[in-house]
Amino acid sequence: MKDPRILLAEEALLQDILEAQAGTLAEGGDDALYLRLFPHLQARLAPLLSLARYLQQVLVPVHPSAQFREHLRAGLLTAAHQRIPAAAAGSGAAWKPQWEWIVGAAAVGSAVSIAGVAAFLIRRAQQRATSQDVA
Amino acid sequence: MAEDDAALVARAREDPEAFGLLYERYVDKIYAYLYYRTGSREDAEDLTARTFYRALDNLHRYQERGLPFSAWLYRIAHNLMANWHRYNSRHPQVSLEAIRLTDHLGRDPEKALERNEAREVVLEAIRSLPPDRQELLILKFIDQMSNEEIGRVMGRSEGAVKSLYHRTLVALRRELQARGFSLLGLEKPKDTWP
Repeated sequence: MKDPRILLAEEALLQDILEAQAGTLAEGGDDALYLRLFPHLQARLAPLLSLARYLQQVLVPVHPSAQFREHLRAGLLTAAHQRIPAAAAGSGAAWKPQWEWIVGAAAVGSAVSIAGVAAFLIRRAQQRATSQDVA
Repeated sequence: MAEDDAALVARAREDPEAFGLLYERYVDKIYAYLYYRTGSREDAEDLTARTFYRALDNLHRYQERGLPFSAWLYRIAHNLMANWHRYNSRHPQVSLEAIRLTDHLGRDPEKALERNEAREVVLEAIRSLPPDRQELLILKFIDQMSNEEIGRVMGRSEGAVKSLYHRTLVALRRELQARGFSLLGLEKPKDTWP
């Protein structure tokens, strides 16, 4: 049985080789080199290289019909003309005053609360002073 | 020099024509991605249209922050695809496209049919893989994306993509073996493949 460290190293090497092969295939190069370079991995490597080569032939770009393309483009542009001005207005002028109002209202609310607490404390201090004088 | 995606997106927020340019740039890629995931031209067209309409609706919310526009678009397509799968699992349909084997028969119909059948077996095997693995194969082979780009679309690291690619090939090979498919003798030079 193989040492687990060797298996891990082999796994990493396989990943690197498959990655390199994908690059070679994308450039239209010859990937036969990889098997020659790593004969000790041939049993595991050969079927995967072969499968990747086959996928390169099967997974080819496909295109939508010109009619569909044009129809969708026209629909999108019409929708964009309707939606984009509204979105631009919504994200700009219409929202700013609202945020300013919210922040302003929050500030006024906080100031009123603080003033209320201060008034309560002053009033209580005055009441205490008055009751001590009476006593 | 062509305007980059980020500049086009910024302009598209106020100028519909800029969105049209983004559409031209990505419609084929998104369509191909959805075609291979669904196996049907009709469904791919429907989902492609939905992807771009959703992108248009949400364009004002999109912020680059390390996620390029293309990756954002693929994520929309991916999410729509997931909903489509959920719907189809509840309402199973047989796609005529998936069982049509007679495209591109060429000069030698028997051999072409054999190749088409082989191709369909492989495509069916790919569609039986988990969604993330299908996605990886399409982005790698159809869109010729690097692992870094695939990682951005799939929300994974470059290393994770590399490892997933290896595991995907191993799983696909097993799947093909289980279907009695052998690669021996089926590989053809590129120019003769339909």
